[in-house]
Amino acid sequence: MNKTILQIKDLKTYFYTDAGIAKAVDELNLKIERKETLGLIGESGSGKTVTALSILRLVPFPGRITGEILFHGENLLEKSEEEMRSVRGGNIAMIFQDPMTSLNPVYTIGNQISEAIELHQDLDRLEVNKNVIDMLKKVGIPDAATRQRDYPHQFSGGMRQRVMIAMALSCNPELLIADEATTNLDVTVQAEVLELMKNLKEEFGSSILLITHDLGVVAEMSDKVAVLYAGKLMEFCDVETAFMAPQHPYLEALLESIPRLDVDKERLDAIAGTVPELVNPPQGCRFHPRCKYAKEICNKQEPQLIEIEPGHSSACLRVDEIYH
Amino acid sequence: MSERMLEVRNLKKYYQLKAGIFKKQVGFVHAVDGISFNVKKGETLGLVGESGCGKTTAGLTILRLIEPTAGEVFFEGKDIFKATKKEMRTFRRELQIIFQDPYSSLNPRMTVYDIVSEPLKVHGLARKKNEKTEKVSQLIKKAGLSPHEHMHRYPHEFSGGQRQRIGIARALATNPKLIIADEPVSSIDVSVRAQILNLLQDLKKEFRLTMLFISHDLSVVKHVCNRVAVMYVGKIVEIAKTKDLYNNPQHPYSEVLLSAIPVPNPKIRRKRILLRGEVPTPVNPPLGCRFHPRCSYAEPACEKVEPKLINIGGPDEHLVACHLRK
Repeated sequence: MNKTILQIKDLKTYFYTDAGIAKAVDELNLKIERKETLGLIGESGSGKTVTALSILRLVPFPGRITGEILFHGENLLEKSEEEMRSVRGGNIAMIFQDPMTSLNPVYTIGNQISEAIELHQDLDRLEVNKNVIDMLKKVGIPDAATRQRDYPHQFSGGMRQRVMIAMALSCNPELLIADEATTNLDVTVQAEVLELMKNLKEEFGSSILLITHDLGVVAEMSDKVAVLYAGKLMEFCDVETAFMAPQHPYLEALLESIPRLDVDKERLDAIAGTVPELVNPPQGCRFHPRCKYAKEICNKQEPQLIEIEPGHSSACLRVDEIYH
Repeated sequence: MSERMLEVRNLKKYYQLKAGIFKKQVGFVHAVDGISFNVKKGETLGLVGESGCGKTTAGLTILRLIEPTAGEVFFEGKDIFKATKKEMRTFRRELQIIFQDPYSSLNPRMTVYDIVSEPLKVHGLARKKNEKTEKVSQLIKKAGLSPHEHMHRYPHEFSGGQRQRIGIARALATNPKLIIADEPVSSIDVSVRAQILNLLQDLKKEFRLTMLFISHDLSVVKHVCNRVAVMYVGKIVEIAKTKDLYNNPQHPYSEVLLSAIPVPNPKIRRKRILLRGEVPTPVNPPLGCRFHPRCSYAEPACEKVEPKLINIGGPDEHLVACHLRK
């Protein structure tokens, strides 16, 4: 039943800048099954957005991608630009963080959604228009037939994000990449958009790659969780394990450090230090300068991602000592 | 303990809305529309609400960084809005602000030393040079940076968290009594956020600060604040002790807001209240209770009469503005 739709193998996306090589994503291995939501957690600079852009091959200059990105077994990195164009928006769609900058201000939203449909499906004008209105209704935009003639600035932030979702789902993609899709929204609007994404996922049967730094959103939406830190995958497991029994010091520390509604705490357990630079990441384990368990070995040897139990991998040299 | 340090009475800030080539006035944005609250000495009061509810405008107006339309603000019994220029200087020393975005609230052409020493210079708090240097390095140290290493660097050389530390050092320079913190951790990385929150907590204790903490993040507010005021479209709908508000919200909007926060625990599946409609514009806010078009408990009275903020908690002061709670 579970079928892998996307498999990332040894993905390396490096940016060759004047200051040096920034290893934004370094030897990433990931798998997304059908109808599954994978939550990709990371802070700014952890490589989560670059991962998304790599999948769609939209990484800007001077970035270079190597490795394999297998979509239904076919390597996307070997496809021609033309083939890629039909994948983008067709098989794999993406919702960006900021709906204001990702919608074109001089076209009506109806125009923009129909463009996506026309590119990927062979339909006549009337059918396209009907689809547009259907999609807008599905994402909960009232009075869709009239609103499709409006421009992006006539919509509120939450409504714009709904338009983005309508556009992304208009071609019934197998994989939806949501990059911080609700980060800029107010909590009540975020709640609505998350609910909407959940329902549409059921209806369309898509898989979702949910990229966010909000652990609450991940807990609520995901089946599996992948944790990135400074371009490296630190931990990969199902959502319950991630929040109940994490087996990497970074995820453990992150969960301890956030203020939460469900736990009362006098003082937060802050993680010392700051997020490292990518041009000169720390030697050995990239988290070791901030890790409370770090020993000498951690700054010498780079940990590999190993499976500690079925479906649960961690990249920590001392995982056995710390967690068993 | 319960001495009032800051008292805000019926504060209003309307912005004029102009249109056309002659900039004819066509209406008002009712950004803050008659809010009243107190901040007691030594406490942290949270001011929460969604974007556009007027929480930042409220903070800026209290400091007179923007001029109010109406209302009064008393700081230790003295009316800030009636203050003369000279009195205003004292207020400015005793009231400080920490901004949301540490990238745009620090002058890129000034070194950390310049930034932190400027308030000292303006208020004549350190006349001699070595006195100033001494004071600045103390402040920098208090904010968790190293004077030796960081004092003569420029803001661009720092990370977001470190920049916020510079902003905090600057706010502390005048030895203020009250600090308004406007979303101080919103633009900071998750793993660094706790450091800044802990720092604020420590400094608050050490300097005996009173704080008005403006934020949209209810998890952070719960951690930091003693009492919380909830705003919706320019009005305060509920004020209560943090514990009371989170365990037992009385206003329907507070209830919705709390139910909307995703909790980082996959085992907790909470019932979520979804709102109908959208946030009304503060240009033409709904009559009566501003929340009534979206409220699932709304009654006919809610459309006509504006509810007053009344105490339903007895000595514990749980204020709520809702017709259904009497």
